[in-house]
Amino acid sequence: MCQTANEVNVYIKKQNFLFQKVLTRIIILVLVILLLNIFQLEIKNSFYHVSSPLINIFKSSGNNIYNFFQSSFNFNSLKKENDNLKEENQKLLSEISSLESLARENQSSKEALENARNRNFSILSSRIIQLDIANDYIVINKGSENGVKVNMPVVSSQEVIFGKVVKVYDNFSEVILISNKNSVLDSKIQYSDPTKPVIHGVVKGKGNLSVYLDLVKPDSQVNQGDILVTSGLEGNLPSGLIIGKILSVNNDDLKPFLTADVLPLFDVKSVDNVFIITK
Amino acid sequence: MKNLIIKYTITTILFFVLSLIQSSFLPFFSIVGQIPNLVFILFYVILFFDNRGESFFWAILVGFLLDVFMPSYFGISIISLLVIYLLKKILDYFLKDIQGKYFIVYLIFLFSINFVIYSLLVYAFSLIFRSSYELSLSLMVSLAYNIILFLPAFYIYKFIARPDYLENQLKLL
Repeated sequence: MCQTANEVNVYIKKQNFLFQKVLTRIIILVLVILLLNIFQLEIKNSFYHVSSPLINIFKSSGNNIYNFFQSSFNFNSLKKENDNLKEENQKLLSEISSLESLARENQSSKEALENARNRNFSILSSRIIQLDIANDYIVINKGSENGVKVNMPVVSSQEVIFGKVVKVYDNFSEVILISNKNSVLDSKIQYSDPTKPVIHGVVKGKGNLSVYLDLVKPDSQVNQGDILVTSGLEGNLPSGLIIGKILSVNNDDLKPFLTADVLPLFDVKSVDNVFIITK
Repeated sequence: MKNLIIKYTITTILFFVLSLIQSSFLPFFSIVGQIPNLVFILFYVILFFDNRGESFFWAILVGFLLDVFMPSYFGISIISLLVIYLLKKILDYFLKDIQGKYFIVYLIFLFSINFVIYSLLVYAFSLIFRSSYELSLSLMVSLAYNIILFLPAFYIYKFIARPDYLENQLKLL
């Protein structure tokens, strides 16, 4: 009888010990996670700082290997792509020539072109140090110490928009790409012919580096190959930054708006340097 | 003791290097936008052979590394990996009998279940904290990509860690 009571006591003590052990672990874990989040900016900044030389090595070797395989696999399709590019080039040349003739004839459009050429951005060059294609975001090597602020647009040297800065560390910043599901951009279709009405819409991210055009009036004349640019209606985004090219138009009578699949023109895999528009 | 310190140091460095490879090298080799999660694979291999409960420590360290390179708050990966740690223990208890008969099937099944649950957990936490982690419909592609790398990693680790593993088994006996 006494022995059984002792056994029960030992069992209860063991249970209490186990419970205390688990509880201590949980408390320590919660404290660690809290501390990590309080010093999140400092910890992530230090980690990026320490690992950026190694990341650069891995990134450039990844890029080289990718390019090598890409060129080997795509050898057969290169000729076809070249023909397409030639055709597209001819179309662009003819568009430029029509634009030039219109510019001579129309003073207002000439002024608009002048303005477009003369617009001045304050830009800051930076390097992509981390790609997260699955989540459509990148990390760049400029941060608050360089004057970067949240919501600043990030573009390529050809003024193709990549995305916006969402988080700023001392020496690094996180940028969500326009293809991120949380990204929404006010846009318009760029026509070389100024007599055509401007078509406004919203470019939304679909994930996996793809985007689509939404909220376009159903009677709008959207065509395959039209170029989408930023509208400039958003305070921090200048107008005319290139977004992408219309791939196909989906005009469903049941839907209140017209939508279109868009080929985004940014290329995170082959571009190393991007520019942050600071003003 | 000295061996243990060397083992932990090497494993920590390996986890760190793998997390860097994952965030800078592998995005060039994505399939439908999916890349393998090398850090999770190594964690799971270690978890599979763990008899001493040291995976609890690895879950925190690996979760920390995954959270550093993710656009989110700290803790999401740590808690998700701790859940996987517990889940693996529970599944082991219930599926012990079929382990010997169909080992490869058991291995792939266990890894798949844990990987899918881990992805769902990270996605659920990200929804709560409104971070930009995305759960793509191509989760299955991601799973296949990860299994392809998990199997060789498993056998390589088994080959390297076998003496240690057997030694622990004997101690238990």
